[in-house]
Parts: sequence; C-alpha cells; structure tokens
Amino acid sequence: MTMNKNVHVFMEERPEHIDSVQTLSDVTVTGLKSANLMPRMEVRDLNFFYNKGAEPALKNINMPVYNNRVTALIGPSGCGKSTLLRTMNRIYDLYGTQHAQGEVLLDGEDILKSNVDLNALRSKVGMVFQKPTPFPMSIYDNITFGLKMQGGMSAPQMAVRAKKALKRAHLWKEVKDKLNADASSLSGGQQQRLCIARTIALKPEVILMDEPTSALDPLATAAIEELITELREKYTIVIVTHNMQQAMRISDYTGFMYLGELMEFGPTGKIFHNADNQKTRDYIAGNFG
Amino acid sequence: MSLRKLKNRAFIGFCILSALFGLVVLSSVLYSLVGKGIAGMGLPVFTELTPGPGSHGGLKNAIVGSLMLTTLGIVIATPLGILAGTWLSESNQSSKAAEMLRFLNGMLMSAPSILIGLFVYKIVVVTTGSFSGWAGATALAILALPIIVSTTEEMLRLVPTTLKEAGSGLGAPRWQVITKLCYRAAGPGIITGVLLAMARITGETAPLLFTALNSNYMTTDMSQPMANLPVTIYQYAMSPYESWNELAWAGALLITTFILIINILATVLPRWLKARKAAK
Repeated sequence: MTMNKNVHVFMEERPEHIDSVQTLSDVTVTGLKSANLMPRMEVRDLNFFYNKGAEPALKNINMPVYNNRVTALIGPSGCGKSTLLRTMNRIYDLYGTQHAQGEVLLDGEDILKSNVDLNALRSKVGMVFQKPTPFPMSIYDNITFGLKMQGGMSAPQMAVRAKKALKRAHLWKEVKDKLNADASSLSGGQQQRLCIARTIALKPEVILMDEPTSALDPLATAAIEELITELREKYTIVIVTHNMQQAMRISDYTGFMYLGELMEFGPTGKIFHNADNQKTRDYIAGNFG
Repeated sequence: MSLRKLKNRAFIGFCILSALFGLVVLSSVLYSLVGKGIAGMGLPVFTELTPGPGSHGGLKNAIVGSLMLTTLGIVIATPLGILAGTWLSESNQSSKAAEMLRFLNGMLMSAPSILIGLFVYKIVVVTTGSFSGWAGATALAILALPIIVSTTEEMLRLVPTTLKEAGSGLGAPRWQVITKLCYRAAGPGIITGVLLAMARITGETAPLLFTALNSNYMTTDMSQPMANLPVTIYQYAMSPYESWNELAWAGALLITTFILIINILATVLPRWLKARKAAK
C-alpha cells in the first residue's frame, strides 16, 4: 500500500469503500510504531442541520477516527468543528430542533439510528468541554457520578475505579487528601483534569474534547496536553482546537474544516507541512481565520 | 450654575425626597406597630385562647392555626411548584403550552387573593359543606404556587447548559441530570423562592375569610374551621373592645416578626449553604 492512499483528501477523491483504509501503516511524524490502524469511528456522508429547512452546518463530511490516535479538528470559528464533534456522541440530541443526516459509525454500528441507547453511547464516547464543568458536589462524587448512572458496581469497586481514574488524570496526588471537598474549590486546570478523570472512570472507547484548554493558563494547558498524549495509549481521542500549535503538538491526524466542509484530512505532519488543499495551506500559514 | 447642572441637582433631589417619603411611611408603620404591639404582648398571648368580646385572653389557637395552615399550604405548593417550574425550564421552552402556562402563572401571581378565597370556597367549602383548615391551606397553596413556579423556572434557567451537557455526556438520563445536577446547582435559589412564598402567604387574610374562617377553640383538626392570626387580627382590630384591639396589635407584631425572620432566612440561608459546601 502506498503512502498516497494513507492520505484521504476527501475534497478531491472520496474513497468508495472506507473499509479499504482499515489497515494502513502509520506515517505520522510523531513516530508511533507501525500498527494495524483501525478506524474506531467513521463519519460517512454526514450533513447537519441546526433547524429544519436551514442551511446545513455540516456538508457531506467523511472522516475516519483511528483507534488509539489523537485526531484534531482545526479551522476558523464557526466552521463546524464543534458541531462535528457533537454528532459523535449525539449530544446535539438534547436540543429538539437539531438533526443529523448520514452515518456516524462506532465499531461499525451507526450511532445516528433512532434506536440507539444514548446513555450507553455516551458512556462509551465521553466528552470534555471547553470550560471545566465540575458538578456541584464533592470531588469523589464527581468521579463516581457516571459510574452510579451506569449501575452494577459496588462502593469498593467504585472507589478503586475512581482512584485509578484520578491517577491516570494526574490529579490523585493533589486531591487524595480532600476527596470530600467541593469540586469547585479546585483550580481551573485541576477542574479540567477532574472532568477528564470523570470521563475516563467510565472506561470509554473514545474521548471527545471540545477546546479543552482554551479556558486554561499555559501551565495547566501543558499539563492537559501531556495527559492527552499519554491517554492515547488507551483511548481514542478527537480534539477540537483553535490552537494550531496545539494540534501540531498532540495530534496524529488532523482534519481542516472550513464553512461546514472537511477540506482536508490526513496525518498531522502532512497537513501542516505539505497540505494538498490551497485553503488548508493558507489557513496553516495564517493567511486567514 | 448652569441650567444643566441645576436640572441634575433637581432630579437627584427628587429621587432623595421620594426615597425619604417611602422610608418615613415604612418606619412610622413599624414604629406604631412595635409600640402598640409590645404593649399588648405578654406570656398570655402564647398560652391563652382567643377571648370572648371584651374579656382578656391570648392568641394561642390562632398562632397554632396559622402555623399549621401556612406549613400545609407550603407543603402542598412546593412539590407542585418545583415540578411545574422544572417543566417550564427544561421542556421545549418556546412551545405554545409553555408560553400559555407562563402567562397563566403570571396572572395567578397577580390575581387578587380574595378571588382565590372565593374560588376555594366554591370548590371546597361548598362541596364539603363546611369551612375547614383544609380549605384554608388549599387557598394559601394556590397563592404560593405561582411564586414557587416562577422562581424555580428562573433559577433552573441560570444553571449553565454546559453542566447539563456534561451530565448527559456521562450517560446520565435526563431526569437524573435534572434531579442530581440542576436541583443541586439551583437549590439555594429555589429554597429562597419557597421561603418568600411562605412569607407572602403568612399574612394573607382574604383567602382565609371564606375558607378556614376562624374559631375560638383550640383545634388541630384540619376538617374544622381553624383559628388563624390574620382573620383574628381583622376581627379584633375592627371591634370596639380595647382588649381585642391590643391583641390585634400583638398579633400583627407577631406576623411581622415572623415574616421578617423568613425574609432574613431567605437571604442568609442560601449564602450559608454555599459557604458550608465550600468549607467542607
């Protein structure tokens, strides 16, 4: 298989069968070992509408989300990158007027189907938001909130899971002596790591992150970025960011979106250094956006 | 001085005068209330029953009756009001049904309380054939309801969308998001609303005139007419007997103090709840 096939430029040629890209060798600049690269999720011919009869906010999106990789979505404000992210756990479904057309596959199953159990889906596809959203309860209760919703775990089991999640999110040392303190007493960066811990406590398959560091200071941002890089070993991550340096630092794949379309998708190194699409090159060069 | 500056001074002067006018009225009401109320106050007020014409006694049955009516009214109105407010804030907010309910709730909030009394009279008193504590509590509940509905809706609307999305994002069903997250976040505000509704109904007289009526006996039987402070004050204050007049003043002071305490609680309690949570 040649490198050209690794790079999907959906603008120009959309692969007839997404299945044909399932076993690609890894060509990213981040030096991951070559492995059988499986798409964990796939977006197929996706259109999205905020209101019935309105212009689509997403137009014909096709994109894979590879297993154990970080996929970044970049693009100017209002280009639809958050909207795309919000279809992947159907959080848009909270609002009656919003509506998606097409397919979003998770392990081969279309999650846009109406009979999908949304609560089960959302515990498999976790989400971290732009602003830290600690729940108005103790640090410990924040972590076990989702576990309690899932049910079927004893209190000691939950305690073990909570500790693991906090450790993995590099928060354990800072909070182990005040697990019963109110979560809002933590700093912004700690709160965001708490939200990540809360998400990974559920052992999700995919974690969606919507500009998770845009409300944080540079130090807290660095901590979160490091965490994301580590989490990649266990989880599949999709991150929306307006910060191109961040996308370059932490992602393996990057999709560039513009006016509701996915202009280009490919390994991060290629998108940033050798993009096929003129618009992508202009955006990366800082000529607009 | 320029005309502009003069206009400015005049405007501010009028503002100050108006504020002073309000203050003077309020403080003179309080002054005579406290003065005359304390004169009639004493232990018998709490230990003796309402007396017959011209004789001495207390307000014990009226105090107990008022507490029971108010408490029951709030107990009925609180769950209804919170659930209705939840529906307004969490359901399709711009739907016709929601708009309609909001409008009706606004009407109910400003409806004359005597109208509510007449309504309950027709529905409860006439049907059951007697004035009763139940009827009184129902009337008070109807008065408290719209206040609780609208404060609950407003407080829930202040809960950030991101919090709800984060809850749903962890796989929590909608009702759990509302009960476990939104109520917790909006809790102090909702408590304030309930307390303010309680303060509002504590002094209501008109809705009780046709419902709980009044009684000279000590009763805790809600199916009987019940003594209560507002109607007792109304009767005693209008009477020619000095001992009744004194008791009316004492009762008025009691109600005012109670309302004052609830109002203070309504401001202090939410802050205290938040502070306690943060300190934990």
